[in-house]
Amino acid sequence: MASYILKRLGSTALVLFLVSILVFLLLRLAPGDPAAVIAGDNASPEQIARLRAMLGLDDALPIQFVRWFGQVLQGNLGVSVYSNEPVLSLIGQRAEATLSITFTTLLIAVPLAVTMGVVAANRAGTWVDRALMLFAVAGFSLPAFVVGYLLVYVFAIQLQVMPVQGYVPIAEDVGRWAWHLVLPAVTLGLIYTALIARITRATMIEVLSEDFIRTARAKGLPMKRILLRHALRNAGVPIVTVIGIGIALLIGGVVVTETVFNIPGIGRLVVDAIARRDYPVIQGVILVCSAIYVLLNLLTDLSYTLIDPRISY
Amino acid sequence: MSALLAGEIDFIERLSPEMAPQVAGNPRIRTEVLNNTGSIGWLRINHLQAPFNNVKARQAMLALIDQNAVMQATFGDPKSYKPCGSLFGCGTTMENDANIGWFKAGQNIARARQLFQEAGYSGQPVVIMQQTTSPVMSNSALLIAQWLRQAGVTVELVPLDWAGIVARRARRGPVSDGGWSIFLTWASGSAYNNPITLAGHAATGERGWFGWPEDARHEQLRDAWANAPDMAARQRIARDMQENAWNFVPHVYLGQWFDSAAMRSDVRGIIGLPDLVPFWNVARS
Repeated sequence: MASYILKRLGSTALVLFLVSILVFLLLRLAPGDPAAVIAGDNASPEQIARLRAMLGLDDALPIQFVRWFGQVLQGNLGVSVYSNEPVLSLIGQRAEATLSITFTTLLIAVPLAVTMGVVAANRAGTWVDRALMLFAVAGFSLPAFVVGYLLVYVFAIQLQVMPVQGYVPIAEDVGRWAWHLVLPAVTLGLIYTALIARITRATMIEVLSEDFIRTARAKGLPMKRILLRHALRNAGVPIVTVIGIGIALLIGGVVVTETVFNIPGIGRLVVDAIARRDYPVIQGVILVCSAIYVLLNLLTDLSYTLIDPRISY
Repeated sequence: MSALLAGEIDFIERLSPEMAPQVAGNPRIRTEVLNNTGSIGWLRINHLQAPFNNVKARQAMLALIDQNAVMQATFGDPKSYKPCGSLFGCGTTMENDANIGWFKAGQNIARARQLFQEAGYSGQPVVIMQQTTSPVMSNSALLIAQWLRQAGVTVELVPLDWAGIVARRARRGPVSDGGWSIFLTWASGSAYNNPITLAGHAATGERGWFGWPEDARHEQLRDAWANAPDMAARQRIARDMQENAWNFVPHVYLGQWFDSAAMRSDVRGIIGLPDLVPFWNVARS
């Protein structure tokens, strides 16, 4: 197991190196000039050129890359060309909001989706199954910004039972923190619930047709026990995989959700950074998100050993 | 806007035009124009490259643009905008009516076509950088492209965000080398009132702001304006400057609009100033 983890961590480092090269090059290929954005509309070409030289943007691309990657290796993601703040510090300031939405979404979506999938599989072909899957299809088809604005309109504007926007740090007020997370988490959770529910249903239907389930039924075991103890456990590997992959969807989806609900998280940070062509911030956020994604994949793979004793590394 | 309606925030400095109907008639929300000189959209044209290195082509742009239509496309309500023919913006101290025959005559696409022909326009593409992140700039670019096509000009619209525009507008070469012909931007109406501090009022050629207009007479007048002893003298020079400018056409205006601020009805003490809102004496009653 330890050698497997070490091998995977080694390949993770390689993946992150390739990601950093790709992101660095793609950003430079995209039209835009951070110096011109920072200098403002009224700046002369000479002022912009001076600023560009000051920011080191005039250097050859390999020199810029080596300088930036050298900093990364020392645990420094660079400094924002716009705010002059360390990128790590900017990410740290915004991480709480994003992690709060992500974990609240998981907390709502995973139990709901697995329950929906199990119920739909157990009642496959009935109106319950069709209703649940209709909900799943709708959840998957509706873009987050549509769901978000609809929820704001109904619950915040019309019924006035939820806040429209914003984020309250957990250290400030736990109750208001949780209250402000409900609508964003439901918005983000809809797609996620739909994805997990569909996979759970499909896998459970397959497992429920296996011989050992028939044997369990023949033994007279209660259906609840068969479903939760025997079928769900055997359907666990694909479900855990899709939960892991889904977290990457959450990281992507959070950009839109944070914009709709005006939440100062990592998604908003990267959207603002793209508009300003703040290269170090964009590179830093993408690198951190890639690292999280790769490590989540590793954790997902390792979790298989807990679910299925036949799997070992 | 939703946050303002729900009472979570008290003030929005600029109300989007499409949001205005949502607050109209709502007793809990008040709207007010705080900046009486508003904002003026302008079209910068590349004086270094064909066809706009020919003054006739630049004059064609004056005949081509219907400011009312441009403003209508984004702002809708005629109370929130007005066309403006003065080089110094309207409602400003330097506003005047020298040489605005083109403005009074209104849009004349046939005349624009004729002027492009007189400029020797031979079908080369005119590249308009369309700023997609701003509704007023994006809509205006679409209209201008359409009118240019009606005037017989080959137009290429290049959609870009602002960061993309500020990078590309620095290129002085022809469009075949990644250059540009037209970009659109805006500034506060009060900024146009001062021919020294607004970089785009300079006509110093390649030493100047993007578009690089060059005119010796204009520069003499700017110097004279800066050294004028009093307001009356400056206003006289401003007339001369405008008289000259609308002949060589340094840039073209898209219209002047007035954003409303939106606030909860019980907010008191907001002071209307161009470009900034002082909050030190603001309170809720």
